[in-house]
Amino acid sequence: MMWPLAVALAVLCAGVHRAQAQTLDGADIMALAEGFVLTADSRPKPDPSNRLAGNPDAEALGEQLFFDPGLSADGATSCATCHVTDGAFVPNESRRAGAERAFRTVMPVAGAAYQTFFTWDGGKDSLWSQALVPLEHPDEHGFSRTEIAAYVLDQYGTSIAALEAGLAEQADLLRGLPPASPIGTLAQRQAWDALDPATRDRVDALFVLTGKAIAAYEAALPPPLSTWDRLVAEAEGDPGRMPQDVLRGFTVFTGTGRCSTCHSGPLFSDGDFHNTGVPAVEGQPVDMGRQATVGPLRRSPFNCLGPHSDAAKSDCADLTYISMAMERTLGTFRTPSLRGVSLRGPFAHAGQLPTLRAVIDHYVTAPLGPHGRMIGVDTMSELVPLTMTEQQKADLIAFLETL
Amino acid sequence: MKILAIAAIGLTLGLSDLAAAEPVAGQAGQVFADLALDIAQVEVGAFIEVPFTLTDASGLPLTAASVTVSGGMAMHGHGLPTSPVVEDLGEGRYVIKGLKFSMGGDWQLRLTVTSGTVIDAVDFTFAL
Ligand code: HEC
Ligand code: HEC
Ligand SMILES: [Cu+2]
Repeated sequence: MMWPLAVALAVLCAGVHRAQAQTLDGADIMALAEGFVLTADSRPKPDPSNRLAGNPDAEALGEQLFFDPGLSADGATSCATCHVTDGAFVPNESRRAGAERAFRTVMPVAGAAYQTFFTWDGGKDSLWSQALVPLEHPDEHGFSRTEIAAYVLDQYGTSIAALEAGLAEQADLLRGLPPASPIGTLAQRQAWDALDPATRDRVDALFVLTGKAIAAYEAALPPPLSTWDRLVAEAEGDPGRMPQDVLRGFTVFTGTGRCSTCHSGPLFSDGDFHNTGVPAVEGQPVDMGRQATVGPLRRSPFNCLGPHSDAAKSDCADLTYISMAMERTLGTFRTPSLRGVSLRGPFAHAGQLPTLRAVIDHYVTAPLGPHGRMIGVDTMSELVPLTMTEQQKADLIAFLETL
Repeated sequence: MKILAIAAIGLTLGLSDLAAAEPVAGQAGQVFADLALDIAQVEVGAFIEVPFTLTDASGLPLTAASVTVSGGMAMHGHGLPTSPVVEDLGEGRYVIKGLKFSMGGDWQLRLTVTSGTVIDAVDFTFAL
């Protein structure tokens, strides 16, 4: 293994309940820090299920679609409505969760391409299949599949024809179709069933192309380099050149705090799913997390193994070998990247934790959580209570604020 | 969540090559497993295939056994990120498919082996 990981191991496993700053000498702590930085040429892994990934024309079309409020029932909702704040790719909570839309915290899109499964519960296995969800969701874009197909042909017919000759032909056949979708309202589903199969295939092909172009654009959005990346680069291996509170916060993060057991690597995410006992939202049913979506994902026609995917079966190992085990799915959510974390909030999958301080206090107390115990013994939550001084909490926040 | 009640009877091999090690005995001493896993070659987050052989207490190949894989990181309280499967290659040779490790650190892997009256569990512990 790369040696920063070997160091991480020594740190994580030697004495997890003791502050590590004293036991790690300066060079070691900086070597450990190198494992958590992005550089200008860091790139996410390619998505073999999207043949448009990396295609500049598709990226350009995807950018237009991402910002186009016309792609919605109210003519006022675009992806950017919830994913851009003041011109930056910072989650925008101005459409309130629970009131105007479903109960989930908005996630950042820049850097999402580094993940394997998408959204808090991992219900999608590609950026393109994820993009299809808000388009048809009644609380989000609220469009139907036939309306999307007709709209993109009208507005972007030339770009679409350039990407896939044939798809843009006979556009008028799609104009004037009733709002129809296999997952919409009863009327929309009936209208969908009434369409002839060739029309349905055509609509699906345009729908999927819309998702793939948006995904190509998203995959080309790197997470912006952070203060943390800059500080580590500028220190050139000398811990004396780091702000000392940030450095101490990092040692808490990788030591006493156990944070890097899940928030690992340059994205501060292991890409995996964990139950961290985050409280249920008052008045809402307990959220089952990944358990509710792993079955539907395996059955989805838009997954890596489905007819709309461009991947070979052998490229879909993450789906083929997905874990259905209760202890891996019940109440588990994807470890979020912590890049840009201090720019967003509230935190956790439904905004249950209002501030970074509240997040840290949650980890220190390690509550049992809404999913309780398995057969009387093991807690579903993976957390163990921590001991942390006020100073360590402040240092940890100083560190998180540089990400 | 200590879903991995794996007894600490496995070998701790550090940053070494499991392929070069001696076959590991199961808890019941009925099965010996020889895993061709070169830890130094394992990349975090990448799928690997791990061939292995099974022998019985008398040293003969254990054929047509049904084998399941489990494991995880006991210290972090989580299991394997995926659900690996085992394919039988015949003559006591098998291969684990769909295995990956989501981070560096101490991992445990358990092969649960059933073949006729033989039931045993072989544990491996290693550091990535
Ligand atoms: C009304 C607000 C809203 C709109 C509009 C919206 N999103 Fe989202 N987005 C969210 C929320 C909330 C989540 C978290 C959803 C969940 O976990 O269920 C999310 C999650 C995501 C993710 C997952 C990121 C990750 O790391 O897994 C991506 C990618 C994304 N959205 C892209 C899009 C695209 C593309 C569009 C336009 C087609 C869009 N969103 C429209 C609110 C919105
Ligand atoms: C067992 C794995 C695990 C450990 C250990 C862990 N986290 Fe998390 N973290 C997660 C998961 C999973 C979530 C999402 C939880 C949810 O929404 O239910 C999360 C959420 C967060 C969030 C909210 C991010 C957002 O976008 O809303 C922050 C901040 C955070 N963790 C920081 C930390 C810090 C600091 C530590 C150490 C004190 C830590 N985590 C330890 C897995 C972990
Ligand atoms: Cu772990």
